[in-house]
Amino acid sequence: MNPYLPILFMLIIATAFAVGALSLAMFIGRPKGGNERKLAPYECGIEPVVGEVRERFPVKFYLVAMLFILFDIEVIFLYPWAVVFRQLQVFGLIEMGIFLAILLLGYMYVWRVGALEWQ
Amino acid sequence: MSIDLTTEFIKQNLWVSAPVWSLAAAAALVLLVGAFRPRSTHSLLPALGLIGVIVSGCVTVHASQIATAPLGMQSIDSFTVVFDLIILIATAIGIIISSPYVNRESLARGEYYALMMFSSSGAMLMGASDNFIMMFLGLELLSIPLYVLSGFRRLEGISQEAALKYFLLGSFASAFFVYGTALVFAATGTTSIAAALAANSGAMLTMGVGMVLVALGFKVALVPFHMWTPDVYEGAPTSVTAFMSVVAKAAGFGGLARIVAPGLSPNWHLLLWLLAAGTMIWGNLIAIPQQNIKRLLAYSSISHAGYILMGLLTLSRDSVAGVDGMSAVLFYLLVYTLMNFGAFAVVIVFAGSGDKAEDIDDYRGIARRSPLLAALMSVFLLSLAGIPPFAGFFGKLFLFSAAVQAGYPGLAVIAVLTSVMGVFYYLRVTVVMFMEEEPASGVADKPSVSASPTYGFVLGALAALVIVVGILAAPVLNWTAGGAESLTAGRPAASASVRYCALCRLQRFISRPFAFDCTELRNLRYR
Amino acid sequence: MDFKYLWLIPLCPLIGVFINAFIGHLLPRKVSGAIASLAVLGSLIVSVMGLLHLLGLPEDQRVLHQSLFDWIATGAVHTQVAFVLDPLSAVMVCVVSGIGFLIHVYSMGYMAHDPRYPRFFAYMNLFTFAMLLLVLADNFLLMYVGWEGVALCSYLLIGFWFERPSAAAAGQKAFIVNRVGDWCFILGMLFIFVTFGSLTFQDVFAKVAAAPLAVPTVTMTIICLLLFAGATGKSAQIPLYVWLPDAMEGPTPVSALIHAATMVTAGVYMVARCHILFVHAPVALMVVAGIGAATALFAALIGLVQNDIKRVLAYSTVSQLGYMFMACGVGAFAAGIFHVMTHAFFKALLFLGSGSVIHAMHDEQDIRRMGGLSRWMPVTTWTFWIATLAIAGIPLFSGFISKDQILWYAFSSPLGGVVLWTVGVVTALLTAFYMARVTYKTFHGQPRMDEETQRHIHESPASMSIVLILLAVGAVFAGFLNMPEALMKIAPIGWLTHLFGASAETFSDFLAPSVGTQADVARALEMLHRQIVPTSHVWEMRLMGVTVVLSVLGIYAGYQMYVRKPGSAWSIARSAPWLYNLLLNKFYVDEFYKAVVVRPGMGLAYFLWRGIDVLVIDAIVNAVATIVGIFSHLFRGLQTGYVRNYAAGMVLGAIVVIWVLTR
Repeated sequence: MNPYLPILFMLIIATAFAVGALSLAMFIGRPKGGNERKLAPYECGIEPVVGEVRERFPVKFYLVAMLFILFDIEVIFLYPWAVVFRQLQVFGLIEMGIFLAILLLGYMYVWRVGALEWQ
Repeated sequence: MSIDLTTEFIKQNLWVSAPVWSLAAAAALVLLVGAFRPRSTHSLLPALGLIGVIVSGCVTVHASQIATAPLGMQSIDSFTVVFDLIILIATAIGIIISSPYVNRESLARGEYYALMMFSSSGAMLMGASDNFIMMFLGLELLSIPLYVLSGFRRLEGISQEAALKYFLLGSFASAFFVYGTALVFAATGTTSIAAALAANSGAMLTMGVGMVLVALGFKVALVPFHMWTPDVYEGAPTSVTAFMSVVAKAAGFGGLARIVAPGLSPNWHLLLWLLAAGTMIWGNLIAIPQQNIKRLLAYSSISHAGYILMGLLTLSRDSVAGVDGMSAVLFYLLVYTLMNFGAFAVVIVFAGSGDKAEDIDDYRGIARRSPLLAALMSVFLLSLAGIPPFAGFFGKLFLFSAAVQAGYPGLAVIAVLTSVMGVFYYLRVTVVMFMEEEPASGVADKPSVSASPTYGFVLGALAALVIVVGILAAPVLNWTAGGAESLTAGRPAASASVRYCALCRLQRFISRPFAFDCTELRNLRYR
Repeated sequence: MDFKYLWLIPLCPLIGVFINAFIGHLLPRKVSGAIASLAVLGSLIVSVMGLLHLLGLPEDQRVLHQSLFDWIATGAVHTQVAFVLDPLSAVMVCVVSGIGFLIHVYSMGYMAHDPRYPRFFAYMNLFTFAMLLLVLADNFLLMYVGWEGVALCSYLLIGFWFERPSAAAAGQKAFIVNRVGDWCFILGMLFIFVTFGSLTFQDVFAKVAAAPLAVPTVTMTIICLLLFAGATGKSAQIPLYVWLPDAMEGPTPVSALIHAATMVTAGVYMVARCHILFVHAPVALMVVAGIGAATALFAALIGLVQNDIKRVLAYSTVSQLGYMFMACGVGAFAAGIFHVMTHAFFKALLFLGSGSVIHAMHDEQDIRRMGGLSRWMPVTTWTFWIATLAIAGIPLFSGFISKDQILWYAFSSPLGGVVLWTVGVVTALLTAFYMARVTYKTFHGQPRMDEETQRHIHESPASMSIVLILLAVGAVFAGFLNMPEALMKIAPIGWLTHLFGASAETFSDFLAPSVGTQADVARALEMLHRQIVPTSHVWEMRLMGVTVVLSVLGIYAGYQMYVRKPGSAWSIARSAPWLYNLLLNKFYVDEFYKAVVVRPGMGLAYFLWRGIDVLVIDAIVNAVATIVGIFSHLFRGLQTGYVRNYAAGMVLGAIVVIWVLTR
């Protein structure tokens, strides 16, 4: 069996799911006889934003978001490492130590320059 | 899967990657010192960075004597050593040139030097990598700090524009690289450069490597992947421009050399031929009407990429001429580092506080006010133009003769003709400086431009080096030839037939009695 | 044991150049002059050490070679920066640095009041450096660097007082005339490279020695003639001698340096260095001898009537150089080099003596306005007399021995003959006469200068007169290094020679490994089917007698005409005014060159400029430039500044890349 077959299946299922969900929504979720409430944008039950949509807001949001993503993804790297940990033994431990040390350096830097403070 | 995880293996790993991590560690140290020490101590950061660079150089040389076994991901052969030392020299010059500049332009921050050094460690990784994945890592480590550095003049639109353009297009190029690597992996099941190219299996591999080439071509600014160059060079802080014009280019060529070294198929020769010719012609042609000195130097750097690619082309072809070509490439990278940094340093000094005077018009008659600076600028420009006795001439000479010997006389002719175009725009600056009168307005209130002691020292040293390397061309070439040889070490000689250079042919024709085989002479050099 | 310090010889003056050029103006005058002198002294010490080291080696191993680094290694050209010290170059470096050192010391006094003092010494050191480089080079290319270097320095130094238009013009003349010679030298060099595939002396000479008949004689003759043409430029021989008399515009120490130690000896040295090439081209040798003899006579004739003290000395140098080439031309290279050495002593002495006179006379150079100086300047007078006797060939002075050797070889060598000898002897007579004339007119008879000048005449300072005395010692005794065998039989001479630690022909024997002996020359010629004339000491003595008588006669005639009956010279001149005018105007050679070479050259240049350059070349260049400019402006528009366009460009490029690759 071709080792790539699961990927093919994955592709087919993903496509089918997306197409299925959208078409289902089209068939059963179409608003009938609309009123003001029904036409308003849906925002998780919160009152919709009033006014200009392209509002400027502080760059700090981006900064925090980026930092979050950065450290988040780096931490995800621990998972595959954990899977092969037994094979890598001490070598793996040292490697991960170095990796985390680098991460820590970055964290110290970010902290020190005040990127984590909301001022 | 079993991995031999002996202590020896770990040691080898550490030593093989030592050049890269030593510099990166130094960079991290600079970063932290910049963050944790008070601002008043920041003037020591460049010195700290320089020490880091020197230590890294020592580590590189030392590591090359310990780590010999290729580990598949990166190697530390003599090419890596020569290449890394060139990068480190460039980094050192970059740091020295930056320090008064960033103070003048109020850009001084610890991050600046750290980013520069991170970028250099990426460049070193590219030149050392045997694997597409490692090379990608190096490429990103090189590029991302450069994006940030380009936008370091945060308050100026032109710098922001440069950073954004560079970032967008650079990401685009990176995407090419990743996609190309994916295709290579799909075609051959490996990301090792040597193994993948040895597989030689069909169109998908070719396309993959082609995509990688596009990305590297972007980095070294080959036509038609060059269009970001003038905008970014103009917008970035001048010291960053100088740094990136040298280091990013060298890095790209280091990566290209690793890919080209195993030898490529005839289609590749045609492609590289076309790219080299196009780059030389286009770069030199568009440089002519430029009005801004930084844009002029940007196009000049594009055209130099063309010359250097010509040397790489010979490497892809056969190993004897390839060693000639590649040693010429390394020689040229070194020389280019010296003269380009020199030219940009003069630009920094002339531009004055706030980088106001960067148009060629601003250079009019400047030799009256500061003859020494103008003379130094002329030395660097003449060297860039390839006029003897400066090192640039010998760099070009070696490249061109390597191209002729490898059987590309046509390309060499194009190179010579486009060099002539180059002479025009380089000399134009000299002519403007020395022979034109200053604009009448404001002559009185302009003081003579004088370089700070740092710049005085750097400029003097660079000019002296440009001349000395010209005089000592042969020993330097010998050194780079050592680096070039390791690239072709594993390759059988492609062609047994002996090629004679034009001079030999003439000589054989005229003097029958002393028929004299000059290949002997050529071999002499490598003994 | 190896001698590893050759590189120091040229390096010392080079360091002096850098110090004086860059920080000379910051130093006190004394220091800057002392640095320059010490730099040359350093070379002298190393040179002498090298010479002693050579003497300590067995005769067949007397070659020291030291290569510093590869210089040009591309394609077929493989050139090193390498130095070679063999007997020939050892003698030359000792002469150059030794005489050069004395002249530097002298200059410290002579130039003391010049505003551009450090610059002067920087140039002088550069001059010495270039000459040492020329002499030590182990290949033609490096030699050429020194060759051009001395030309450059002569230009800079002759025109040192460039405020004077005549000095500036003389500097240019020297440079341009030298260029003509250099051009021939380059051609010769290219021929050598094409023929032998190398520019290293060792390679080229070894190839010739190994297979002398492999290269056609015509080729050898062309090479040698081209090299010799180069030498005529540097060493001021017909037809390129015209720059040397004009070079008198430079400061007097410069003249001394050019005439005695550097520059003009370069040509003789080069011919001696390439003697292997020359002996395989007998026609070229004959040309060398012929030109040398003609120059010797010609210059001596002009020297008879010149009134500028330095100009007389200049023509005498040209004449003496003629002797040296005559020696080379008859295959007696060692005799030629020996004359280079003795000439260095007495010519430096003459020039520095004349400098002393000019210094005392407030820049007066015309001997008609001198006279009777001996009463104020005893040291200058007596040292000048010694040099005069030496150059005139009075027995046992150095000039006598070296000159008689040349005359003897000119007579006895298979390439020589009675004609060459006669020309040489007549020249010797003339030399004695005009030198006596200068000396008597300057130092004896009635003073002819005005009162004001007379009151200021004084002997020169110690730094100058000590140099004069040292040189005088050399001018007297240098000859004993190479006493001919014939004279050794006379007991006192032989005894004296042994006292100096020398024996018969010591110098020639020492040089033999580098420039060959008469026997070598004879063997080479034999191969080319020339017959050899046997020689004898009896004849040598007889001919020597003739020369001595003529020399003494020349000096006596000078005494008669300029001291006893001061008006007699003028009456002789009046009896043949056309001859006098011909000589006074230097045979109208300058005018001839101007009419035949310079004018047509200027005309041609004007035509090429206005006709060819402006109308054809410039037009083509401008057209190309315009077209390129149009294109570049056109394509410049593609640089829109929009990222989307740039990205599109990249995609198009990638498509092209992949298309080419998968074609």
